[in-house]
Amino acid sequence: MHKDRASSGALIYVVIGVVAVVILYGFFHFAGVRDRVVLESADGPVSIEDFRGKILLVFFGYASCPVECPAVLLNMGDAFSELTEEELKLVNGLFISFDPKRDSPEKLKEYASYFHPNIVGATAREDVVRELAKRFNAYYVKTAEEGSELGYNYSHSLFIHVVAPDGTTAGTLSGRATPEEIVAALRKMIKQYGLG
Amino acid sequence: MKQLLAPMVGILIACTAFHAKAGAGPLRTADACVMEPPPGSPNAVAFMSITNMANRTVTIVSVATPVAKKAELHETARTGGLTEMRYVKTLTLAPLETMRLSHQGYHLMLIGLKKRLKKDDRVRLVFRLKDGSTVSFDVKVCRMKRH
Repeated sequence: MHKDRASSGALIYVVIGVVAVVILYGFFHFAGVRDRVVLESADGPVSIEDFRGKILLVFFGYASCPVECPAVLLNMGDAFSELTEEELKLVNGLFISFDPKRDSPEKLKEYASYFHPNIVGATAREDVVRELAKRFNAYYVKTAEEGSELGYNYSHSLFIHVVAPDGTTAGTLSGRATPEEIVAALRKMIKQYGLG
Repeated sequence: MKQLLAPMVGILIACTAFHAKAGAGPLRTADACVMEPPPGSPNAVAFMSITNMANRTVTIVSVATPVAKKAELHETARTGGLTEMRYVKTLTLAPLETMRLSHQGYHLMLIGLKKRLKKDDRVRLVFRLKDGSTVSFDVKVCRMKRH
């Protein structure tokens, strides 16, 4: 009788334990999925988490931006070209367009890879991009360009957001950072995270 | 008739020469470049130094180019940590003033490119001035430069 009671008690604890594990797994799993902001690239869905283990330089902009955005990407591309083959395997750039209306994933692939093959171009629905930008404290606002053929434009912050290999944000570089400054920052991080 | 032909040809040549000189107008450019746009970019940007050689104020009221749907003057401005581009309707140069059209201020936008521009292509830019005259320049396409 006592033995049966003990067995039943143990069974209840096992069931409670299993249920708790399932609930906790579900909570963290779905919380993770919910938090993972998925963008669209010409090569399929892409997210910040996909670059775990690497140093990721994120830049928000738009392809119609004629001056500032190409300048930032040009410097980033030149910096990547300065890296050794081994170092290059440890870094990526991600150009995120906040102008999905004008920038398709295909167009962004062509655009971003012009600066360097390690720079991925992606976008998403406006609300999705805004959510991701908020996490990085990247700011942009659409402005009407009255009388201009462009119709609208953007006022935007100009930072390169650095993501560490563990997926955490690791500060920003100025959008005016030279290739030499970007290379120095990347090499410092490669050393800091023991990647090299 | 033959006696009249020579003076008529002379007058015609003189008129053509005068027109060519007028076409050069009061503006001179230096270091003019249309930056090669990345593929996927529908627009291009042109930088240059532009000088008003006349002893009167000159106002550029519009710019046209056969390679794009529209050419516009814009200004890049930085306010409160943000960068923004603003459409500029006209650009006025005082006598002998040189203005630098660059990434840091005024620049010329070629919007809605009709074809992909590549390094060493030539692009015709036609500036229309307030007095109704036009000034044309052939500007080369340069590889995008760092700044």
